[in-house]
Amino acid sequence: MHNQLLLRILKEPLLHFLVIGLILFGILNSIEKDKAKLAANHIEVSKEALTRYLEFRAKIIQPEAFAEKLDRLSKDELQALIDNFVREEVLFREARTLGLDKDDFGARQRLIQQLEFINQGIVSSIIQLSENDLRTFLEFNQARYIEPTRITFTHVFFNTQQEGSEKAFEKAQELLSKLNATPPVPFEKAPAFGDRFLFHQNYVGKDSAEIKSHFGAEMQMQLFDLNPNETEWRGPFNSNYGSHLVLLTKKDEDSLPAFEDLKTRLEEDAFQYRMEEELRKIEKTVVDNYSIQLDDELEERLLK
Amino acid sequence: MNAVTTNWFEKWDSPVGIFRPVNFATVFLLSAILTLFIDLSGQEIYSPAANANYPREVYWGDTHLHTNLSVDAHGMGNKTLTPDDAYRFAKGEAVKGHNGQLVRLQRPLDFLVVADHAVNIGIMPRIRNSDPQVLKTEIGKQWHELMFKHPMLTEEALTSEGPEVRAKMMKDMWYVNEGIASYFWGAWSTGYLGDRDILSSVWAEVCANAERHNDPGNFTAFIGYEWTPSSRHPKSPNFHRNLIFEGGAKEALQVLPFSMQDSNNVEDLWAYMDGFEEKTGGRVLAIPHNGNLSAGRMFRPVDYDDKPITTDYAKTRARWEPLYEVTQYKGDAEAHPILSPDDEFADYETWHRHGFFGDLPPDFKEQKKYEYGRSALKEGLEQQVKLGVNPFKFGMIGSTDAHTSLSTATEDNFWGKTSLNEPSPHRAANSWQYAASGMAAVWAEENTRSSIFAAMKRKETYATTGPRMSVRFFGGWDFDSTDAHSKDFVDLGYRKGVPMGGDLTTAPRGKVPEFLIRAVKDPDGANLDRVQVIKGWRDKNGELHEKVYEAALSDGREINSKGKAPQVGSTVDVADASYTNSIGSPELATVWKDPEFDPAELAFYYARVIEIPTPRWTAYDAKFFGIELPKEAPTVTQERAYTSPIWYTP
Repeated sequence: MHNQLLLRILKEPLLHFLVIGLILFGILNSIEKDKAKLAANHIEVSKEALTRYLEFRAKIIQPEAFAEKLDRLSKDELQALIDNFVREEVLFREARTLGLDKDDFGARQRLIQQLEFINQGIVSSIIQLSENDLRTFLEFNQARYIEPTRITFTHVFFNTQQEGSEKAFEKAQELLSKLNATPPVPFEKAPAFGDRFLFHQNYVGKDSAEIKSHFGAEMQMQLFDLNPNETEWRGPFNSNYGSHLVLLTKKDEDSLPAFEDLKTRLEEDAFQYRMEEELRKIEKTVVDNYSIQLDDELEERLLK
Repeated sequence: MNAVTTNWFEKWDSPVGIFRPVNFATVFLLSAILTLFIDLSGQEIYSPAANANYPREVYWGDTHLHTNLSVDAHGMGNKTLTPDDAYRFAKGEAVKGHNGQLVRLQRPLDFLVVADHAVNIGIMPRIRNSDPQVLKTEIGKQWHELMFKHPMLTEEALTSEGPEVRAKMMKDMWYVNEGIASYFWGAWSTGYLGDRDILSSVWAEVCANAERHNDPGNFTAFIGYEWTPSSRHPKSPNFHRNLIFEGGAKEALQVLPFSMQDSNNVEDLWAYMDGFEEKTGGRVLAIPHNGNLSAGRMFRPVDYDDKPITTDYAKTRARWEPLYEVTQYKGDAEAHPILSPDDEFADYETWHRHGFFGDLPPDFKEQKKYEYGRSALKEGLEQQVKLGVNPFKFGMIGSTDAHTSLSTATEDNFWGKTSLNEPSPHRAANSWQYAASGMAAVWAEENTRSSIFAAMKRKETYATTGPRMSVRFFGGWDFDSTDAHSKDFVDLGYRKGVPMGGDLTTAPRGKVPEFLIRAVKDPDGANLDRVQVIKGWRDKNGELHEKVYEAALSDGREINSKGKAPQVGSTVDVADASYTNSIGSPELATVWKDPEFDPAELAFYYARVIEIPTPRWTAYDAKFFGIELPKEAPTVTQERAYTSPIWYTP
């Protein structure tokens, strides 16, 4: 279908650039023209003007669609649209004659926001991200998506609260050889030994932050230095609360998740990023058309 | 439930027994049941933890967070932080505040209810963007004018020119003067953008946001909103409710948010909720909050027309409102010092006001009775006798009520009630009263909408004022004192008793209620000072009573003859905004028995867990910004948890 072709064309970045350029040109140009026309109490209402009026009200730029919509309007609706258009145009011109656009901070802000919003709408409607774009985005922002190192272990705990830290450590040391008998005590039998720990019995796939908060910084570092071994109990390690014997069975080093798993997040993040980028680009193009002169004092301050 | 299943299976331990001929009928039955299971296994079970037969995890969340979709949040400076920012922040991402600084949670939340005010929901960002749909309406046009006449200068107010800009904003902010949110401050019917199309499109956005961020097993996003009668409404001042929908957008989109514009009468809200369940088959609940600012009305046993409540009212209220948000930024509402003069911990983050604005009236004790959680639970016993139903049989939950899109409830990371109260050198001077408070803790099987919602319905929840201490509270008749230190603590709790939110009845002869309690400190927080049991009861003469019992104390302290314990001391260095865990205990566990039990009296029991003293957020502000605090601003706090009660009914 010819829709396919149209879609391809619509996805062309060059076209986007041209459309944005044209719109900005149109806006700036019309402001210039309006200035010239202000003197005369004369308003031209053309089909094009009404189409554009409709577009701006809806904040959607689709000339054909709105031209069609205009054609479909009933006589009354058309009259109402014209009345509105004329009313706004007149009030707009009068406001400018009064110079309201120059000194009123509010009006100024509103115009700026309006333009920002329109730009945002336009830009967001034309940003299309290919898989390649997402991959590139990921490449440049890897740090944001890296999964931290995670460990899995169970432990036997000896509480310092009851008998003091030395006794707890001793008891743990005594038990170590028993746990490491042949065959060694398996993961699931750990709850049969030692005292009840404050937090969990088993820690499955936990990152350093959680281990640090449950065991303290020192023991967290010791645990993350261990290599996994499903048959050897190690320790005792001292936490903030007592002594521990640990069976650490798994360690997943920090890694970047598969692209497919990150896709939804990437789509959202890359879209936000591109939108900001495009908006800044547009603004820069426009700003570059101006020559900016600072007064001497400011110039001096900046140079200092 | 679990106790029954476990015992039932124990009978089948011996395989020999099964093959006895006398058991043929049972074998047949068992086969039939197994066949049923096989049939069921044909369907894939979605939920990974569906086999967990009791709640093993405590999930942490906020059921009351406002974003820039709330008119007043926007009006008080929240220009840019959207629901998306709110969810991302709750999930642990860093977000940039209006003060230009990055903010992040030390640990992410497990669940979140974005509960924006239903009235005029979502119109502020639309006005800001000159949305044509809004500008089509008369009021929309007026407000659009107002917004640009009085530009919001949040960023400026939070920087060096702060005090002047802030003062100006507070003075001439459009919403105070003329318009948009004025209903909050008085004239509750001046402005309403009653456009159904706009409301529908906002509601669709609200639902879509929650759907997008809901991630079963990892993060639960509930669809919800707040029904908010005016703080000055004479019949329902601050009678606010947060609605939480169990299901997804498919159900929620069949209704629109019910606002004070529809009705200020809470009974109409309940009818709307009933209508929702009828129509969609979905489930919804409501959580009241800030009774402490309700001018004596939140739990007064009268209806909207000041008539005494009926059995029907009591039933309806108990059905829709299983929980009470007992602590949040705008003060703590567990107990009031004037109502509980013997409770040395009752005066916690108390707001001394009548309603939102008024000074305390001379008879304020009479008024406060109907505002605070503990006295309301007592009043519930009274109503139970009068009406046969307890309308105030609620569990406890805490939440923030932040209007910043940032759910922050810890003292060292408090981002204020409104965006104008984000950290800045100026905020403490006029907003030191706000409490960095309110977390919702829920014991559930898994982190999904249905599991957490079910836990809220059965009240297996507790409130904390910020720290994430883990608290178990079981009531029964047959605990052993060794159970408290058993490794099977949780199994014993469920097997021999009922968890928080549950009921005990018909005391076995010669037995008294016993409570198996275990509290563990927040892994990243302070040690615990003590665990208390608070009992409320109605005696034979119809008098209501309350008593605070010390159930477990740290540091080997003992209770004196008056039942009181010495203070735990303090390690707080206010100037340095720091403390150490050299006092207190990381864990307190005990079996507590009621020493004054009368099986003929209605009673309730809940646990209050108290941390050792720590610096209050004001101390962190003073240190960071190097400022002087107002003299009346407290700098030390003792954070706490309140469990849902267990009721005894003869």
